[in-house]
Amino acid sequence: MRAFECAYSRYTSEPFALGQMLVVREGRCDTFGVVTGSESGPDDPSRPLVPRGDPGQSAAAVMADNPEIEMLLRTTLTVAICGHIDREVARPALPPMPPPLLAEVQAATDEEKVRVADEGRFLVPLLANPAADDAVVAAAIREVARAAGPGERPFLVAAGKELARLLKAEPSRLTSILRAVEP
Amino acid sequence: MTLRMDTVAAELPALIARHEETRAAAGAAIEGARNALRQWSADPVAAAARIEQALGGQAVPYALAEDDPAATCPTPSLGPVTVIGVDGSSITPDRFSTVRCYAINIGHALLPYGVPVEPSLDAVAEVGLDGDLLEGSAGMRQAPRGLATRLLRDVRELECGVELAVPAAEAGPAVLLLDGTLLPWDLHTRQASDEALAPYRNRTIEALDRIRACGEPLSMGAYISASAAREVVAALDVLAPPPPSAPPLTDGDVFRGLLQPGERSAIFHSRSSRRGSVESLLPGHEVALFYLRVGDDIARVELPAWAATPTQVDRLHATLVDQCERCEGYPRALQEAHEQAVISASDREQFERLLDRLAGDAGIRAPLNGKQQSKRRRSI
Repeated sequence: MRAFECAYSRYTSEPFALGQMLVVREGRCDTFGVVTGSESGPDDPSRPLVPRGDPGQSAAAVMADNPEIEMLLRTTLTVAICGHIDREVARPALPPMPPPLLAEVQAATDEEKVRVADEGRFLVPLLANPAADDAVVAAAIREVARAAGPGERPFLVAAGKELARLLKAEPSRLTSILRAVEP
Repeated sequence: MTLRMDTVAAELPALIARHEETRAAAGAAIEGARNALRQWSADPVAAAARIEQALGGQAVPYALAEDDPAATCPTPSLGPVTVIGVDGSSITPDRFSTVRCYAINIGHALLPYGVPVEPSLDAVAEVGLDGDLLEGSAGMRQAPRGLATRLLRDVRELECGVELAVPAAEAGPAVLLLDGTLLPWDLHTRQASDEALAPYRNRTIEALDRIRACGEPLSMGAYISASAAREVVAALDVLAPPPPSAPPLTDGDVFRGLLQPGERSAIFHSRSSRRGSVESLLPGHEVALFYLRVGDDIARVELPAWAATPTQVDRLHATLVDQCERCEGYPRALQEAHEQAVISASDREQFERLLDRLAGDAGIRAPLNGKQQSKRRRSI
């Protein structure tokens, strides 16, 4: 309920970024989450990936020279749920139901990011998720700030206040996240 | 109780010692065969005439060289190419099953190297009833279980290869690789009627004709790792008969010391006077072959004689060496096609259970025979 995993159909060298907000638009409501991790590897665990290519050869060149590799690898993401939109009402809280299995996962729009982040209140479910470490939380704040456009500064101030409230017992973590948020 | 390791382990050292004795004896025989090859090479025309005179009417298959039989060819340079590997796997109709049906899974790998073609790894599965394999004839009923499934699988491999290779060859140079022999050897079985075999033969001919129509842009080869064939040896035995006590050699034994890694042998042509041999069933599609050294392996590569032009052979040779370098001594495209095709033990079990369940849902419940029931329960 607090997190879900999703996968690309095969390997991608440019998956959704750490901290990026994603959405599943199926089920009882639209479910939003933040990318907490990304992993790529063989689809078949009995076939380990062995080193390929010549010294100095780029990954892209190795892939191009071995066209089967990309088809045998898969990229998976872990996503921490940070909010939902139910009948047009955005709530920075866990949804009543998890998103359906096999539902498509998409990037949230800028407008959705700002709505779900709700002036930093999306940090409540995010900080409660052990997978959302300091780097993820900071990246998520930066992501929403960018999406806010002219509202970037007010959002950062609001998110900072929310962080200070939530982490008043963990000053060192608060400092770590705030430093990571700074451009 | 599983295999009694304590028993077999005690016997293995003696087996290994006996194997070493055989290998030592084979050394002299190999040297004799190589001398015969040199003799053949010194006068190819006269030697070929002697071989044909001796084996022309015999059932034993043999091979004749296109030119110098002792020639060795280094790896040619490789240009842009699309490599297509095809391999198949099958489930034979089970006589214990409620519904006797087969499953065939044909895997392929289409791998472009410097050619603007979309790569692909995939498999196509098909199922049918045991009776579908008979093609309207009862002639296959006497055939051993599995023969018809195997034959259909071989033909489908070839057809799948054609479907992929023909468009690939229109986009640029391409190489079609099969695993095993070029022609479906079960076509010559005497355990099925001509009528039953005819559809498979016709489909094989049609597929080969389509490949031939592609011309020089398409090379084709069937790859047999560690082949035990002895057609060249049969010809050499005519030129220098081995002593009766000599151990039987394979062509690979002869070429192992002759070829350096990456080199191929001369092109040979398969000959057989055996009545009903596969070659005689597929007129116009005679088999040519060469041996290729990949690491310590001597692989046999079969190709249609009409695809043995210098351009096609060079492309095939260079592609195979490159493919084997990419995959620890075996063509990458065939390896990936195999991975797509393979039907694992758990797949087989799942297929059997699914079939049983769906048959049960349809109200078909065959009584389990004693052996099947006992094996399933395994009670103590």
